[in-house]
Amino acid sequence: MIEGSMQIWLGFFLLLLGVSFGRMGPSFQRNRYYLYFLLLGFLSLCVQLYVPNKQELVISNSLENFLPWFSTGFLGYYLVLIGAPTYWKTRYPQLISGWVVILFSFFLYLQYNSDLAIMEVLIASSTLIGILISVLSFALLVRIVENRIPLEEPAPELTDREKEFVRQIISNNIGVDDK
Amino acid sequence: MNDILLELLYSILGGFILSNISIIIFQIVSFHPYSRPTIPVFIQSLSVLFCLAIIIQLNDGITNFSNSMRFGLTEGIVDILTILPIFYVLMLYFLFRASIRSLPEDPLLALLDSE
Repeated sequence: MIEGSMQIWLGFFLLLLGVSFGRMGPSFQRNRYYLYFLLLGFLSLCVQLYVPNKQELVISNSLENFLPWFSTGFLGYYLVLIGAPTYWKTRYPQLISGWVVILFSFFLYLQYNSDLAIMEVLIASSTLIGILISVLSFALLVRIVENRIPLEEPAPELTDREKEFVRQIISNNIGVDDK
Repeated sequence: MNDILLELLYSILGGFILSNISIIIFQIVSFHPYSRPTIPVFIQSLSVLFCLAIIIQLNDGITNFSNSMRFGLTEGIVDILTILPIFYVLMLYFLFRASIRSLPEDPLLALLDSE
């Protein structure tokens, strides 16, 4: 049982690592392995080799009810976005099939979540309050930390040697003769 | 405490813990020379510990921090999965608008058509 629980938490943290690696730094400095982390995390969460403990079984069951309609809906979204006239003409086969797939995802949602009560959804939506408090407090903390950093002194003027160096680089780049 | 109020509180704490843990991991993993994550990570970790202590106090079945962490994260994950359909339906409105809007006349595209 412990293996099943560990697998779920491993998958969860690998997903978090993958997302964090994928969003780090400027685009050219993002970690190369983020996609592998994401895939491994996703597989670890979805392909259960062992039965988890009671606590993690709740996550596992939620995922079982979530993935069928969500993956179908995702495919539908993708098809509709391909078919929609955002950048090009309307592509009706993709557009219509996308909407059909989206409607099918609703059917799947009702199939897999028929026992879900409105009260449960209302209670679950209060989790947004927690997320909001967390994000706002993080923004406040970052602001406080950033405001504590003293302003840097203005940079000194370039020396003649540096000016010449910059002039040469620009000349080379725009293809102008030194003279 | 009332059961529904308790559920609400667990849900809020779950969202808070899940979100804070995600942000802490993000700050540590995406560390670079210009980031200053020490103070935010320290205060966020303290606030998560405080929430875990609240869960231990409220829930008789939970006696230690690791179980409290598992409980909080589970609450957060399950609640997010439960409310995602609401956002799914909201997004459909924008998708519908994108599906029916017509492209403005573009002479360059017309030129491509004529070829």
